[in-house]
Amino acid sequence: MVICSGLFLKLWRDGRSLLEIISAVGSIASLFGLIIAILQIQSVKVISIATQRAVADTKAQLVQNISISDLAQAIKLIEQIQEYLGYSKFELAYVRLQDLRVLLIQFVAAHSFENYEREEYENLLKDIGIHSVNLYDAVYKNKVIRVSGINKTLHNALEILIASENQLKLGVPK
Amino acid sequence: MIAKHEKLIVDLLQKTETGAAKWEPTDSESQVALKLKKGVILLDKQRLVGASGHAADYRLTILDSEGNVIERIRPEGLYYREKTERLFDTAKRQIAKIDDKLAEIIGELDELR
Repeated sequence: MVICSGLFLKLWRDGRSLLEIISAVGSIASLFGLIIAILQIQSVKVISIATQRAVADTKAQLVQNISISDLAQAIKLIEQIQEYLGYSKFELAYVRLQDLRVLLIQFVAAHSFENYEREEYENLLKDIGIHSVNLYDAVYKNKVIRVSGINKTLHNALEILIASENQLKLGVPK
Repeated sequence: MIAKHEKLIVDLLQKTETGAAKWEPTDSESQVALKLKKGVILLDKQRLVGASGHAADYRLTILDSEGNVIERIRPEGLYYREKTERLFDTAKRQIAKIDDKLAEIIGELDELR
């Protein structure tokens, strides 16, 4: 505004016609307007990126908190299954094993893993699936099963889950 | 039995006999498992006791990669029942490495004078 006024007065004193003055002042005003618009767009862009980053950080933090809670729950389920198997309560062990499987499926779906980690979880889910089939048959069809085989898988599951928990809590690589 | 089930049994037997399919033991003595990338195939041998004596019945259970049961197959007809029986025996022999051990024993016998 000040620059435009200054330019107007200068051109007026120089004896330029009103049309010339308006044209020159208009051009300068447009140029400044354009610069201001560009600066505003850049400012909005920076704010937008910062907002996106903040949303992503919050989301990641939320997912991490839920994941740690899921892993703690999965570890508790494993301990329960081991206890039920110890007392040959196959029906309860079967129900809890199914809960564990669903929890792990959700955990795997919500995370991005390194290839070898994903493979570990996929193998674990397959093993738990096999044990579920056999526990069901043990309960309802009197199938003879080796509990030691299931315990071996559960022990392996504990190792994988604890490693994932450490990784999420402390950022410790596996 | 649908055509896909028949093909599955034939293919499994062929891949097992060539050694391409590697079976594993499970927590059940009467079961073998073939773990693949897309899922698991379980093969169970069940003993049936009837008035005329004992008989074996076989059942295939297919799990997806998340461990969900997606199909149960009971082979029908003498041809497929025999193929499944051969599949189970071959898988068991493979797990116990019977053929390798036999080859070693035969090799040792050949060296005897």
